[in-house]
Amino acid sequence: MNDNLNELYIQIRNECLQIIFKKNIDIDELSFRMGMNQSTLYQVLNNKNEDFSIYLKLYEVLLGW
Amino acid sequence: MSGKEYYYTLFKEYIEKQVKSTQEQLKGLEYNIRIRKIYKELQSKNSNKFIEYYGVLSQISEYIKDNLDVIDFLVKNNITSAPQMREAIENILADKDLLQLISFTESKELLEGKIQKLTSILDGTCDFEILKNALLDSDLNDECVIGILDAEAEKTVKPEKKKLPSLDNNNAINKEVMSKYNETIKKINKLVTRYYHLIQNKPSNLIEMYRKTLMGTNMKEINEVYQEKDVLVCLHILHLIDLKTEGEEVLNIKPVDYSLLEINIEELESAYEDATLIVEKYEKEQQEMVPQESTMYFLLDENNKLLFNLDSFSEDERRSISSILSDLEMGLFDYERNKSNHTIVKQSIRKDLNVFVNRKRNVAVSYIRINSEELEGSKVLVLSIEDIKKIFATSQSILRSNSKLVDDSISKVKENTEEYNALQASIKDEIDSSFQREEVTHHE
Repeated sequence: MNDNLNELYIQIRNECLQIIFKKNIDIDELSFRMGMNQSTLYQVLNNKNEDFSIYLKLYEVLLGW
Repeated sequence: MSGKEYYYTLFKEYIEKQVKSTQEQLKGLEYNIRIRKIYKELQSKNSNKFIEYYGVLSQISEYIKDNLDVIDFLVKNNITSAPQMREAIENILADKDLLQLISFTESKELLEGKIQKLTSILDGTCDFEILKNALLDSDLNDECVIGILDAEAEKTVKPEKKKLPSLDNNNAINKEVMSKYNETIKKINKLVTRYYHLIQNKPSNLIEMYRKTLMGTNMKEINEVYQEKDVLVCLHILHLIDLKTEGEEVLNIKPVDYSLLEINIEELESAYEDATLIVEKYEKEQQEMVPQESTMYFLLDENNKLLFNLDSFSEDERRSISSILSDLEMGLFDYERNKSNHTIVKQSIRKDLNVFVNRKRNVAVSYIRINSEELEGSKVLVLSIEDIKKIFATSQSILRSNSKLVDDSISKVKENTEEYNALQASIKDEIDSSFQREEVTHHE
């Protein structure tokens, strides 16, 4: 992942976390909708994933929650 | 009236309404600007200023009028030093209605610019970008928006005489480049129009993230690494739109630099090819998600045994499993309406296979859909039945450790041999009897 996406990763991750806390989102439910188990979801949030589409998908799911 | 004429009529009516409301907004803003100027003068707290603007200020509210009357009375009676004077002045300056009027953030220039843009749409002199933005901001339905975008896109590929570049001695070559450009744009417009709804329905902050992603990476990396197919389609469509805009900019600068245009055509062609491949994968996934009656198969190990153990589930869980399998078999699982009970395994080990998961209560079934033109009807290959919290890890583990087994099973399903079908029938009997056994136990 290049530097520009590093910054974007931090931005999108923070926005996702904000929505999760603000809307008090059930992580089990979010994991299922994202098609992954909880630990994978945490991994995706905590470590930059080279497949950036997963963040765009997560952000979309959260915006529509 | 043709469909497109009707769309244009609706759009025209919408724009006319927008012009009218913006003009009214502007009128309101001019009033607010005047009040703000007056307010600045009032801040000197000179009682004569309040009397001077009595007419305008008294119309804002009864409360302001009452206070103005106090000031007027005190001025006329030459008792301007009375504490009531200061109080009345402070009351007016702190009045909420008045403060609201002067706390606007709109700009007169912006509104005038907006009216100018809207008017240019009505008289047909606007740029495509202005028209496109107005359309996307409109309350018109998708069909209407796409219809107009389509018609406008057609216009851009029809060379208008007045817009044609002046042709010199190289006119034959330039004509050829233009012809190629028009040809490329035509097919790109078709693709963009077809998938534009995927972008249009997304929130603007999400689209902003898409654009930033495009800026931060290249399409090669996107194609190789990104797995979310709908996200990929959106990125490709946005990329095509950006490239198209670059081409339009080349054409807008006279005399046209045809060598630059040729580079743009090459980029567009390459982007179109990439986008077409992605769109095919996206369509395949969409097709797999169409609910349909399916023949059920189960993934078996080398000893023809199931990879999961039904005995480990409780009675309630078995009922849920039976219900999921039955819905899947009968094509009753509506992916759209019940999408909260259906998902696709993300970050899959096998990028070439979509693994779907359907759930009921705390259990879930993961499966692959097998559709091909040679096959009669739809087939489903069940990979695993598991507790909902374990289903993703188990499915990924199967794809990782038993990848060949999965491929072999898909081949066997496609081959449709009597032997394999008989084996699967016996497995299904085994599963059914397991459910029935529970029911009998339950009834006893």
